[in-house]
Amino acid sequence: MTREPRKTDSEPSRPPGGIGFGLQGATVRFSGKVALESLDLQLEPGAKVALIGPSGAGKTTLLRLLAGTAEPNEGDLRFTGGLSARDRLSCTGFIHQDHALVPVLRVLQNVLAGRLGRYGSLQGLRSVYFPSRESIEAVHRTLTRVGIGELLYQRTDRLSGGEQQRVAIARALYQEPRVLLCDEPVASLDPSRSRDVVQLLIELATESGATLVTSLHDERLAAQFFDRVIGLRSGRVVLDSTRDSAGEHPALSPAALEALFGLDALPGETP
Amino acid sequence: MEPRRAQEALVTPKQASTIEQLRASRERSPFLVVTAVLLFLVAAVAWMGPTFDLGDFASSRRADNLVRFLTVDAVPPVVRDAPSGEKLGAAFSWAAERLRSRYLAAAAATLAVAVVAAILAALFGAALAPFTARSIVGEASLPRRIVSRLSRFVCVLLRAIPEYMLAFLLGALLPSAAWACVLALAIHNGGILGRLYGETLENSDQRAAHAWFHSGAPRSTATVGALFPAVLPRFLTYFFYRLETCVRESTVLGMLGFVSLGHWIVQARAAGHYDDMLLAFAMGAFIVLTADLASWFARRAVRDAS
Repeated sequence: MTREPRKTDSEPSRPPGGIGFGLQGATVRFSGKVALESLDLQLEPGAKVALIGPSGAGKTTLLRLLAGTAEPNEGDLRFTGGLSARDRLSCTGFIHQDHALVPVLRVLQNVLAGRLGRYGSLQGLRSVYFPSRESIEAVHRTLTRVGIGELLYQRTDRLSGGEQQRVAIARALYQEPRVLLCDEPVASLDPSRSRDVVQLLIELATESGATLVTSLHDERLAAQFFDRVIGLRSGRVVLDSTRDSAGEHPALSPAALEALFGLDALPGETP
Repeated sequence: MEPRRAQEALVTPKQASTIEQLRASRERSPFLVVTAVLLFLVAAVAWMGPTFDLGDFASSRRADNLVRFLTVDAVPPVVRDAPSGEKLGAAFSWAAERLRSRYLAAAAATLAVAVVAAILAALFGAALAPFTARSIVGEASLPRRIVSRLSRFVCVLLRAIPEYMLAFLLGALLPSAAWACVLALAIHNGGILGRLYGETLENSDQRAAHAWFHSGAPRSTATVGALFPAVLPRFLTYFFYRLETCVRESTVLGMLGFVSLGHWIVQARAAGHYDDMLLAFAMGAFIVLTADLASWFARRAVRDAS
C-alpha cells in the first residue's frame, strides 16, 4: 500500500553564500597522537579548496574540525556568519568516503535525511518516513541535478558504488549547505568518473555560493579544478597554492610535490 | 626420514634447554583445572545425596507401573474395548473427537498467548535497546555508561525471574490468567530482548547514523531513523527465536489456569485420564515443533532478504 504524501509541509530555505573559517594555532590530538599541529589557515566564504597530502597527513581531521565534529585541543577556530553550533551542523554538508547511507532505506529517504538538522525528533522522523509531496519533488529535482532522478524509489543497497556516491552528494546538496566538505569523494572511482564527480561538486558549490573543501589524493585533479590547493603532511601545512591569472598553480612544482608526498622525513618530522 | 633426522640433530642441548625454560615459564591459567575439579565435586555430592537413588530404576514396582501405563492407562477405553481389527479406527475417531472438542481450541489459545507475548516482548526490548547499548551514535559519556549499566541490570533482573513464578504472582493481581501469562512471558522475554537488541545496536555499523547526527539530527532521530532499519533483520531473527520459546513456555504456563494445552494436561492427570494426557502432550509437541519450523523458515527468509 502506498501512502498519499502530505501536501502542506513548507520547506525552509537557507540564506545564500558560504561560510568562512579562520584557524589560529589549532592543534588536535587523538590519544596523545598529534593529528593537526599549530595550524594557521584562512578560508574565505565561497572558496573552492582541495586538501592534498599522504595518508595520515590530517586531511580528514581538518575536515572534521571544519564540520564541527572535532574540537581543537589548543588554538582557535572561528567561522563567519554568527551561527549557533546546531545551525552550523545543519548547514554543513559532509560527503563521506564510505557514503554513510542507510543501505536498507530508499534513495528518497536517504536524501531526505539531509535536512534533519532543521527538525526535532518526531518531526524529523516524519519528514523522512512520511514526506510531503513538495519534499518528494524537491528530492527528485536534486537527484535529477546529480544525474540519477530515476533512482528516487530504489533501495540504496541495490545501487552501484558510483550511484551511491551521487546519492551521498544529493543528500548533502538537499541540505542546502553553506559549507560542503568532502572526504576523498573520488577514492573508489576511475579517473573519468572522478573528474565528473569533482566537476559536479565545483558546479554545485558555485551555484549555491557554498564554501567547498575537498580532500583528494590526486594532485592533478586538485590543480585542474580548484582555485586553492593546500598540502598537508604530518598535521602541518607544507604547501598552499593559489591559481594564478593564467589558470596555473605554479606552487605545485615537482619539488614541492616530492616534499609533500616523498618518503624522506621533513625537518622536525618523525620518520 | 633422513632430512628430519638431520633437522633434529641441529637442535643443540642449549636450544633444547631454552625451549624447556620457555615452556616452564608459559602463562598458565588454573581456571580449567579448578572448574573441572569443582564440577566433579558438585556432581559427586549431588549423586550421593538423598535426591537420586539408583534403586529407582531397578525397582520392580516402578517397572510394573511403566508397563501398566503403556499397555492399559495410556490406551483409551474405547480402543481397548474395540475388536482387534477396529482398534486403529477407534483410536482415530477418539482422537478426532478430543481434538475437536478440546485440544484445537487449547492449541489456538496457547499460540495466541505466545504470539501476543512475543510481540509485546519485542516492543519492550526495542524500547529498552537504546538505553542498554553501551555506546550509541558516538555517545559513550559517563552518564550514558551509567544509564546503560542500570538498564542492563534491569534486564538481568527481568530475565532472572522464572516465567512460571512471574505468572503465578501476576495471576494473583490480574483477573485473567491468560493476561497474567502473556505479561509474565513479555516481561521475561522483554528483558532478554532488551539486552540482545542493545548489543545488536552497539555492534552495528553506525556510520550512517553518525552522518545524520553530524548533519544536525537529534541523536534519537539518528538512532530510530538510521540505526533501527539497518538492524531490523537481526531484531526479527531474535524475535522469532524468542517466539519459539514463548510457544513452549505458554504450553507449560497453561497449568496455571487459562485454557491452554497445559490446563488440559493438568486436568487429565488429576482425573487419572492418562490417555487424554498423552494426546495433549502430543498436541503440545506438535505445535512446538511447528513453531520451531516456522521460526526457522522465517529466520532464514529474513537472513536471505537482508
